[in-house]
Amino acid sequence: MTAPTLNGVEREVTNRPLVEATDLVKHFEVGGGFLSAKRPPVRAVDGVSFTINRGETLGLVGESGSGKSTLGRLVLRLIEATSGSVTFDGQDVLALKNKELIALRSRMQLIFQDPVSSFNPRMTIEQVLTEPMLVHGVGDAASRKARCRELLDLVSLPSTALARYPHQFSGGQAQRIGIARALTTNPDLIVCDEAVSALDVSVQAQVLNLLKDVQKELGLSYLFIAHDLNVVRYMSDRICVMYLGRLAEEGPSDILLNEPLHPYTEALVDAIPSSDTIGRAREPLAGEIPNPSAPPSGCRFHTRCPKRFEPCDHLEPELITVGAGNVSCHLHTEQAALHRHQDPPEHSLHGEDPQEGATA
Amino acid sequence: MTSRHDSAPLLVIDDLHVEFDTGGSTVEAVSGVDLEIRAGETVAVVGESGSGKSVTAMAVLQLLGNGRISGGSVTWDGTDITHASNKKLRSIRGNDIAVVFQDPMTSLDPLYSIGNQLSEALRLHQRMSRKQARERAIELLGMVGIPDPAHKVDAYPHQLSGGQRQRVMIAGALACTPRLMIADEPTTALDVTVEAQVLNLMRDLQRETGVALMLITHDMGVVGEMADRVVVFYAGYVVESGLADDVLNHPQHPYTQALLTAIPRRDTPRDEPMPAIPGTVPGLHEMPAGCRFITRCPYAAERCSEPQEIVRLEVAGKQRDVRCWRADPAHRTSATIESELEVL
Amino acid sequence: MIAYAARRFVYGLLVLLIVTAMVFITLRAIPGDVVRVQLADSPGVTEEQIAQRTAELGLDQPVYSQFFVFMGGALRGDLGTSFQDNASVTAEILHRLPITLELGFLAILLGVLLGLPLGLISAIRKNTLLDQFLRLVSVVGISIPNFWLALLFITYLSLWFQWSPPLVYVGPFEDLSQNLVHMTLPAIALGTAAMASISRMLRSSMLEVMGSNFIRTVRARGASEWNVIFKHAGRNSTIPVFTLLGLQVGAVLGGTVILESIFSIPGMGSLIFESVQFRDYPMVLGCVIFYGGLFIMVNLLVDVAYAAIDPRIRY
Repeated sequence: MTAPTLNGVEREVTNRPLVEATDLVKHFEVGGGFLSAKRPPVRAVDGVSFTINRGETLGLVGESGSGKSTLGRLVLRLIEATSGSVTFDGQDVLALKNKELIALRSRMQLIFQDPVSSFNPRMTIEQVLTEPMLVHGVGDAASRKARCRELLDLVSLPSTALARYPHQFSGGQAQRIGIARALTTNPDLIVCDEAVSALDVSVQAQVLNLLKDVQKELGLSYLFIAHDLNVVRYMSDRICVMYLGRLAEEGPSDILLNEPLHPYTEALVDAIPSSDTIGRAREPLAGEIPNPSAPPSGCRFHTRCPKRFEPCDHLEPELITVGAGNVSCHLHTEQAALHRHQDPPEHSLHGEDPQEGATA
Repeated sequence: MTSRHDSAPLLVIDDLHVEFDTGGSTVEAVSGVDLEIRAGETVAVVGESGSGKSVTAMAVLQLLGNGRISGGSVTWDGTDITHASNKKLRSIRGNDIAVVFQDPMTSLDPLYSIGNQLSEALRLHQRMSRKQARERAIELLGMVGIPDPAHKVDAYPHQLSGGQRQRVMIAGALACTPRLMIADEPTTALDVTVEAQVLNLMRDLQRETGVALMLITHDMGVVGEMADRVVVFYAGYVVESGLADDVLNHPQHPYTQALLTAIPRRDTPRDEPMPAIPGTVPGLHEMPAGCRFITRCPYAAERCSEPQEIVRLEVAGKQRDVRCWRADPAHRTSATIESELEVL
Repeated sequence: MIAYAARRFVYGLLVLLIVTAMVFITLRAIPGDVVRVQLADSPGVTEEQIAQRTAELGLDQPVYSQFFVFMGGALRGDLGTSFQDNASVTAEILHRLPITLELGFLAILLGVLLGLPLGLISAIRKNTLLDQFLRLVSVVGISIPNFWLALLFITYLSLWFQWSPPLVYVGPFEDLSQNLVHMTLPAIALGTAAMASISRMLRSSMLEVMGSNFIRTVRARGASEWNVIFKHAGRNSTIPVFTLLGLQVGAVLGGTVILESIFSIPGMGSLIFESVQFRDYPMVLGCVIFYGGLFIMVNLLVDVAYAAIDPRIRY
């Protein structure tokens, strides 16, 4: 790994992952007020672990209701996790006191889908960009102004933009400003939450290129959240596929798309409308994502899975390593179990089918 | 120009101009659009936001809010409806031409049951009784794949998922067996697996009912899956149209070419930058006098600053329009013609 | 739904209890001794007599014990006796309540019957001269205090027509026309603000609904403007009007205090007005409890109405 330099700041280079999330859970409580009955919580994220290495982009895909946006906000501790842990550069993010958290926040930033709505409409772009530096006490007035120009130059906007207001920019330009603002405090990690989803195709490509250029130049890590699988593949080194608050599959992006292990990943890949084929080869996945406050038993995908079999509706598959990736699917726990039967016996596998034991 | 097997067009849009009032001044959102749709065919209308594709579609039914048709004509089934009375237009809306809108979450009235809303058009256009309309509504819900339609007919929109609501919208559009269905970004708000279901449904229903489909989309993938012909919009006019296959595989207008390469695909190399289109679409107040793509076109030349006429070609017996002088065979060098011939 | 209404009812009682306690304490915090005020006109009152009267009224006890005594009675439906004439507070209020209810009902009815059509016309004829005019009218209607409007009525009617409102109240069952002649002016004065705010609220919510996607869907299926406006836009835009109506009932009830006094209508409003002047604590308190109870009940009804209009609201 190379040592990226930014404003002459040498960053310590280690092999330790930048972000390590372990068994993250977020349940949103609903109801339970003075006048309403308490309802079961929405299990937005329900036991998800992943790591992001330095300079790496981790893609996060899934349909609405999969919990991908919640996961992004948990990593930044913009919302408090119900349980689990997040370490950022060795620091336990969830244990930090307010002051330490603010200090750490300068190193992790968020880019939204709709940047304009996250800017104060009465602030000029200069104020928008200066604000994070003021919060974190970076530099003096002159150096901050210089930094603003430098950032605008980095995102290919003229410095005349500084005196203008957010509503005077097009969607693509506004997203460039969003990126510039995220970069003001020299972050190590940027969470891009549907950052290009609202942009037109021709502008989307520009912003994707910009994100990649900036990453190369500054050695950033991205958590890239989007619903467009092809966009995520283009941006990411590895991809996590989420379904109903859980990780279905994780793996290197090209392998994940070309040889999906989980039937859900396979369905997602198949469902992408493609200009190369007229008509569709396979029947699309039936049904829609179930209610996250009452997830199905066993494997959460079993209600829609075309390949479900005996254990799927009562036994939750564990995430196991298959090839270069990880997958939580009984199709693969079965295979892994078979391999183990041939090898010298190890401790019994969770995914083993109790019925099988009975019939054998 | 057209082969004699083709029927007379259902819908003909000729040199359409649409203006909007924006607080004192007027802007032209659509400037000279030609478009034809024949019975039973699927025409995809593609373009980015603000390209005028939705406005053109809404102009057909004159559902323009504070906008109006300021030039050109719309002909439906041989009758000029550009200046038709409100009564005449209402008899076409929902009856001959139906619309499916983008956002199923907000496109149904939250206060009425879906049966009630489906019945409205039936009672209006087909003078059905309340009971008949309800029966037909149940039938329609079954047709679009809503489980347990006899029960779901009394459900309210908020009790259905996004995909189911879009199915209800489609059922509503097909209620009076229209001859043309305008679908304005029907799957943009849906998740990808649900999008695939809805596209499949539309294709199946089209096969069964023979309804023509005007499919407005920004997604080239959807065009490839659904369309017979495609019309590409840019900045308020049509830059290219022709058979979907031909336009997608051999785009001739520089904009279409650039658009197609700017979409990440499964095999796009990850270590190379995306071939993006530089700059942004010109604003409605600052349209170039000549080719509207001139500010972003890699091939921009002096001739491009003159107004661009449509170059009418023929590919495989079908009409192929390109609004770029380079596409005119008379202006090509022998080398480009040769390469073109090879492709054909 | 019923469980929700029951919960809301209990909640309402709780609010009423808090209001009662607050009024009870504030009344006793007002400077000036009630007995001295009452006996001020009688010459030669001795300190002994004053002390005796104070003990009679129970005012020599600490405030909290007075409160418990009062609450004990209130729970049995007995709000005590008037300091003025020892009459039963409950009986006196029940006697006057229907008069105030009639006035309040007329005012709200007027506000709704005029406010809804004006708002509707304003919305449909958006940005025309008519709309501008109606909007001006509603701004004026909201800004004018109701008692001032009432005084204008009285002044100009007597100046121009030598007519002044009757001084003696006649019940609606004795002579309805005579009763209405008496009630109309105060009802107009009270209802103007309600009318103006309802029309403004309906106009803005109507315009918002008319721009929504589902209205476009309704138009695209060929529905007539009548159907668009009355079936879809109308019902959708009345929801915020209901919220407003609940609040307006509060304003109207408050307005009766002064307007009944101006028009010499012997309702709860004039009762509370007189009782405050006389430091008649039990009477004031009784009136406040009734006013509060009415307001809470009306808003409970508004919430029930929401559920009837909007299928998304289920309690």
